[in-house]
Amino acid sequence: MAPVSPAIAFRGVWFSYGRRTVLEDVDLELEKGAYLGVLGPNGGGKTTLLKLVLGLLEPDRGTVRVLGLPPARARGRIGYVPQYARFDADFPIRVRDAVLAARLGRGRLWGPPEAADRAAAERALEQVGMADQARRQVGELSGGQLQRVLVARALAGEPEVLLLDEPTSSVDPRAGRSIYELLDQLGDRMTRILVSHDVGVLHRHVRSIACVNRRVWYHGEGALTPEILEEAYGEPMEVVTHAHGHRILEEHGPDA
Amino acid sequence: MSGALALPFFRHALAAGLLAAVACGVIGSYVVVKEIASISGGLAHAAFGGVGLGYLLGFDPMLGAVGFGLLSGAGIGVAYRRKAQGLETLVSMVWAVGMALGVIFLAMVPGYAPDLASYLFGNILLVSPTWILLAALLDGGVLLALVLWHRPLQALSFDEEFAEVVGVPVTALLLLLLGLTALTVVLLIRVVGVILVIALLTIPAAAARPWSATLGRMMALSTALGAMSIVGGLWLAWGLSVGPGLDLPTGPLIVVVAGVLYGVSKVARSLVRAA
Repeated sequence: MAPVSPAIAFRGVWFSYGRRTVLEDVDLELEKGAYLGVLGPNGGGKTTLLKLVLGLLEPDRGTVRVLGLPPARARGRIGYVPQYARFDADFPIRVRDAVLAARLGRGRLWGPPEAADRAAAERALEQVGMADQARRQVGELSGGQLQRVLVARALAGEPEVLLLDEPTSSVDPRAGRSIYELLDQLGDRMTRILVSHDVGVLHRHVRSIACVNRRVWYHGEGALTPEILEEAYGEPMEVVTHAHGHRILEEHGPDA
Repeated sequence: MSGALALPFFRHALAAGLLAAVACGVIGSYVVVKEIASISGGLAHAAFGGVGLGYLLGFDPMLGAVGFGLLSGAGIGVAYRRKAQGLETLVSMVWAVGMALGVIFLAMVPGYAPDLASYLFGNILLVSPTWILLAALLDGGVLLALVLWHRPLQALSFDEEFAEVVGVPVTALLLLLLGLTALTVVLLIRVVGVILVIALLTIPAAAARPWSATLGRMMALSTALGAMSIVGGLWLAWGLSVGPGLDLPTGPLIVVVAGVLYGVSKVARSLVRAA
C-alpha cells in the first residue's frame, strides 16, 4: 500500500509581500483528521499561512501540498471561513444562496442548484442552528448570525480540510461555544486549522498548536505554556484565568 | 407624448431606450455590487478611441468601439485578477488614453468633422434600426448569461476569494462579466454618450438596491428604473421642445431623471424604515 500523504504539508516555504518577508522557512505537516490551533500576533502571518493552503497565494520558495496535491488542484475539497470584517454586509443575497455557493465547484456550474446541493446547504444550516433563517437577506443578520452562516457555507461543501480565520470574533460567547462544539464533533473526518487569539478556546478544543510569527513553531499535543506564548508573540505573555473561568491572554505591561 | 409617438424616430428611440434598459439593469446590478463602476467608465472612454480609429480608417466606428472596449476589458480583467498594484491608476490611464486617442484620430480625419457631441453625450433620437437589432441581440446574450451563470457570477460578486477556493473559474467568469459590460457600455454610448454611460450603469442599480433582497430583484427593479429614466428623459426633451421651445439634449436629461429617481428611492426607503 502506498503511504498515506499528509493532509497538509509545508516544506521550506518562504513568502513575502513585496520586500516584507511574512513567512520564513516554514515546515509543517498535518495528518488527516488533525485539529491545529494557530496563534500569533497580528501581521505575524497567520492569514497568509491559510491563504497558502487555499492556493490564493503562491510561496516564493518551497512547496505547499494539500491532500498530496498543489493547493490549486485541491480546490473544492477545502472549506474556508474568512474573517468576518471583510464583508459587504448589505449584499443583496439570501442566506441559502450564500451557502449554496459552496457547492459551485462540484458538478455543474450552470443552471439552478441540484437536489443534493440543496440538501447539503440545508444540512449545514441546521448544523449551525440557522435553518430557519435560510430565506433572510444576509444584511438582516446580526454579526454572530452572519458568522454562523459563513461556517455553514464552509461545511456545505463537505470539505476534507477546513480552515477558519478567527471565526468567532464577533459572536457572543455562547454562540462561539456552539461553533467550537460543532468543530469538535466533526472529528477525524476533517482536518481543521483554527486561527484564534483566544487562548482559552485553543486550550479547550484544538489538539495541537502552531505559533506563527514570521517563523512557525509547531507544538504537538501538549499544554499551552507561557513559554510557547512568549515564543509566538515575541514578548513575555501570561495565561491567566479570568473570573468567569475562561482563560484569556494578558500582556505584561510596564506596571504589570 | 401621444403626438411624439406618431413620429417614427421617436418610436425608434423609445424601443431603443427600453432595450437599453434591460442590459443596463442586469449588467449595472453586477457593476454596482461588484464595485467595478470605475472600470466600466474606463471601458466607455477606451471605446471612444475605437470610434476615432473607425472614422480615421473608414470602418464602422461602433465596431472600433466594440474592439477597444473588449480589449481594454480583457487587459483590466487580467490585471485585476493578478491583484496588480495600482489597478485604479491603470483604469484611469485606460480611461484618459482611450479618450485622447479618440480625439487625436478624429482630428486626423481629413476634411470631415464627425459629430463628436453625439458620441460624447449620446443622441437616442438618432438610433438606426440596425442599432435596435444589435441591442435586442445583446439583451438576449445578457439574459442567456444570466440564466446560465447567475449563481457563479453572484458568488463571485459576493465573495470572490471564497468562489475561487471552492473551484469556480473566477478568471473566466470575470472576463465574461467585463466583456458583457464592455458591450453594454458601447451600446449605451448611443443613448447617453461616452461621458454619461457610467451614470446609466450605476444610478438605476443603486436606486434599486435598498429595495432588493436578492440580486435578481435588484436587476428587475433596476431595469424598470432605467426604462423610466430613459422614457422620462425623452418625454422631457419632447415636452420642452414643443412647449417652451427649449431644445435640450436627451442624454443629460435621461441622466438627470435617473438622479431624481435615485433621490426619491433613498428618501422613500428612509421614510419606510422610519414608519
